[in-house]
Amino acid sequence: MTKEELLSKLKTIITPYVQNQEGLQNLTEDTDFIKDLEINSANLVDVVLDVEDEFDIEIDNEAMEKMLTIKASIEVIEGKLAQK
Amino acid sequence: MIGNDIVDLQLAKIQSNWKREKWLQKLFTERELQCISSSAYPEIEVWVLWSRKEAAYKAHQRRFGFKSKFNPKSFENQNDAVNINGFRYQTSTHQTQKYVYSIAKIIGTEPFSEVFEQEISVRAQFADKMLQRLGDSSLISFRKDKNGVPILCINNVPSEISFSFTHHGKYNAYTVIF
Repeated sequence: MTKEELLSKLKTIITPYVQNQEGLQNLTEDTDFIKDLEINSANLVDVVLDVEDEFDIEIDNEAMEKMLTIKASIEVIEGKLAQK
Repeated sequence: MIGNDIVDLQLAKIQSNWKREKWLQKLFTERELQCISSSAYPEIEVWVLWSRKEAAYKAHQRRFGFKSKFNPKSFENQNDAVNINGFRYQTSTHQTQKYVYSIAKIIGTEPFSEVFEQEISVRAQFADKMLQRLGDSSLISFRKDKNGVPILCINNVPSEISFSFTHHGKYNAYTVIF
């Protein structure tokens, strides 16, 4: 899977939880889920669960802790996919 | 140091499916899961425990200034406190049919708090309150530190006043230690 494909899938996953649409339009690697997209913190767990389902991976607590930006999430997903 | 968190129960119902498989297990420790499953009102218990964790996270971040992270299981509700790596925050919750509102504080501090049941600027309300206390000639403004935590400035000088804002759905609140 290329990085572009991964980013596209991740964008699809987070879209229903985004409360600041402007942040979504200006999405970059540095986009922060809470600060820029205003995703409710209780919905971060839905993002994590959706990522697990979509990529068929398991996100442990240590990995979940980092998943607050696009960049960090891509790193976590790539890392878990490499372990498969 | 202090933190607060409010949950609009009606909005929470729309935004979150707490019965989703693995959802609770990602957010809560074994001990907390037991509290939820033994509660007569598990849905309310979910939001009480969650808002207390969120409030404690904010107090802890204000105290130690760390970069944001999503580690809800590192924070554990233990009776009327939340424990994180041996640090304890006393928690209290005000619960109505519409919302659940929790405050977490360091033991020995006495916070002041107001909840607003409408869409208003909680920041402006808080600034008004501070002006009442400091005198109208003071200039109140806000900045954010590198972790995104708001800082109250009085006459453009950053203050040490500990406070926290929260907003969810129709509800807003602030809390402060004067």
